[in-house]
Amino acid sequence: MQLSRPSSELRSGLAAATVALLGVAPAPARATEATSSALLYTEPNRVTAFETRADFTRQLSRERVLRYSFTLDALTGASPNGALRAGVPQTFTGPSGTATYRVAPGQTPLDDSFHDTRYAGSLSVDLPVGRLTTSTLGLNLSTERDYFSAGVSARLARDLFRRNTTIAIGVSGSADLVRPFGGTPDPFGLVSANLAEPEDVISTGPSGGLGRDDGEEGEGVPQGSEGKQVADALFGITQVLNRTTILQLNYSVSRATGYLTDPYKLITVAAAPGTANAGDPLDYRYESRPDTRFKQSLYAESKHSFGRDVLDVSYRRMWDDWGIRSHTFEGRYRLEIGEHTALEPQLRWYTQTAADFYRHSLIDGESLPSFASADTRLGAFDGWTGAVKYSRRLYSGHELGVRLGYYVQSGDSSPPDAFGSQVSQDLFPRVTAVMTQVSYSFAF
Amino acid sequence: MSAPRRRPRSLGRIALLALVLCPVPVVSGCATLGVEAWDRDQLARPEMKLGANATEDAIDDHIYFSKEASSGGRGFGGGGCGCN
Amino acid sequence: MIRPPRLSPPRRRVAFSHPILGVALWAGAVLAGPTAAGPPGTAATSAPSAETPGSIEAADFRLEDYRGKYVYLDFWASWCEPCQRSFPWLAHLEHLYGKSGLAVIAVNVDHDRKAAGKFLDRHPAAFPVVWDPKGEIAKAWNVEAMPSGFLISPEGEKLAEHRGFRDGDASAIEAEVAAALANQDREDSPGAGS
Repeated sequence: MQLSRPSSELRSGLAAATVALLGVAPAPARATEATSSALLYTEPNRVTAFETRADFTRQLSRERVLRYSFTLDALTGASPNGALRAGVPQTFTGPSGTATYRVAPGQTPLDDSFHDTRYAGSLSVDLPVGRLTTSTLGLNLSTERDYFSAGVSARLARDLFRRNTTIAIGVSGSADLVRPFGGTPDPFGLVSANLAEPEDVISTGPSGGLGRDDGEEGEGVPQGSEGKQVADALFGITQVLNRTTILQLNYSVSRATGYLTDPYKLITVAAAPGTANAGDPLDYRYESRPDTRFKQSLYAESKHSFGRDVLDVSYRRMWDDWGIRSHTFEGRYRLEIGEHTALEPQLRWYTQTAADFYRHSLIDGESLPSFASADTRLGAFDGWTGAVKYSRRLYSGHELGVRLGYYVQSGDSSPPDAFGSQVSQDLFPRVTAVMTQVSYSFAF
Repeated sequence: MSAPRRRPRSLGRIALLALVLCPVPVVSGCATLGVEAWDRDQLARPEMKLGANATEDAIDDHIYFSKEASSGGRGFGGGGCGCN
Repeated sequence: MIRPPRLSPPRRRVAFSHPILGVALWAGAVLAGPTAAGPPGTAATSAPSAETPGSIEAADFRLEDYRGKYVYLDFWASWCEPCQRSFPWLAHLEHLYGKSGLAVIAVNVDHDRKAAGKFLDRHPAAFPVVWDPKGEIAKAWNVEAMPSGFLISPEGEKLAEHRGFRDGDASAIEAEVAAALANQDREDSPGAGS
């Protein structure tokens, strides 16, 4: 069908006139593209997190690209402190050593003193090397009151076969500084031991933490701070399968060394089986994790367009030397409705096995294991997320998105090794969360 | 210690096998898989970019990183209009 | 008007899903592709004036109509981001050398002509646009990147191919065209003054 173009002569006349007026070829416009997003994550009666992020992409001369981003995230509310739900009341002191909180029987011990704001930024630049190769260098920084991280990254990507294939290799490294409130606790440090003998409490810092070591004078490491280093590498292939399908496969490895323990998490020391109050909490110890972790993951993602709609499915398999294995399946279907609107239902299913040293409690009188943690984040559980995103293209390049999601995490409420009074408690309460997210992308 | 989970393991293995075998035609026939430079209209669409929701995904990843033991895996670009 | 035969065999989509057939057809396309003499065609029955911009269907397009002039054949699409920059520059090229013996022709490979039309509303074309939605002309010229520009001699020979449009390409191509036109001037009038 020949498009009738009665105005083509007028159009060409206008074009000629414009060029004549300018006298030179029009200079290319260098726009900066920006996407910002804000998420509110709320677990009823538990933690609330607000995270906002803005990403900027600016085309520079000679095919270079500058990317920079800012992130802010704020956490309030209560998080589990690692101690086990019990049939008796429990009392804890927050990491700052001042706030005491009581937990009723049958309630999960939650510490609500986690109020912190994290600021993070990143900068990266794409530097082409020839027509088909791009190198990327990046820098990231992140800071919050008890944690600081600085990292660098480098990546090389090469296009092959008329840009139907892209292979990439990337490496990154980061150096983190952990400065726990109240100082770094001794691994398996007993909480009550210091309560009973207050003169043994080391309280050099403002927090005066219980059972916590604020560091010896004269050591090179600052008081109560620990280091952590992470090195990552990624190998990936992106392949165009046909006009409507693209596939990506990545293999990545990560090695973390240093202080990997959560300084605020406790493990219940329960009265041994056979005693009068078997299973009840007698004391608490600070957890202890290994000082190295080696993770590997395999990731595959495929995008397919069905007319104007797009289906995106991905799968990630992760395994590490802590004994954790996980699968993540994610699917999204973007349904285009009319010229300017789209609706995208999303589904995610996640499952992980427990870390080798994951324990819901320690047993009084037994010798201590090398490592132990009762952080449910390292336990075995399934997580489902269902969400719907509504997007609307407003005008030249601006797009608004609103997303509503629901996350459910469920683990084993009655693990086989529960004993005594623990058997009647829900030892892995279901976590539910509502996620509300608003995104806006524009150019300037 | 919780009981070993059999269902996710075999499901995961099948998925892994399928996805690992995918590159076999890629490696042996990369030159024939794909599209012509002038046929990349669909791939050029912003919704078809692999990093189409990068900002949202980054926020999600951070939330999941705080609640789960796995992180990362997602990659970089590739695909797109293949211009220049 | 007698409908001329296609410039190349119809593209088979199945080639991209069947490796062996794909390799065979791919090899065939490479071997049958543009030679130094340019893509094959039949004699023109009528030559549209190269001075009047307009749009031409792929089946009606014949490079022979432009014999005697240098031709800058540019392949573009509405979805091609660098084409947003190369297209205004093509108008500039036409303005610079259009009267000195260069014909600028822009071949559009959009499947959706409406999208191409919207692009042209934003970047008007002062030169002919050829509609090649099936990519037949693109395939005949073995286009490997978008945009692609071919400089063709007055005898119909491919002199240069430019893949993509990056910073610096504009002045490089202009210099190339200027040199080619200067050469032509020298050949046309040896020994004569300026």
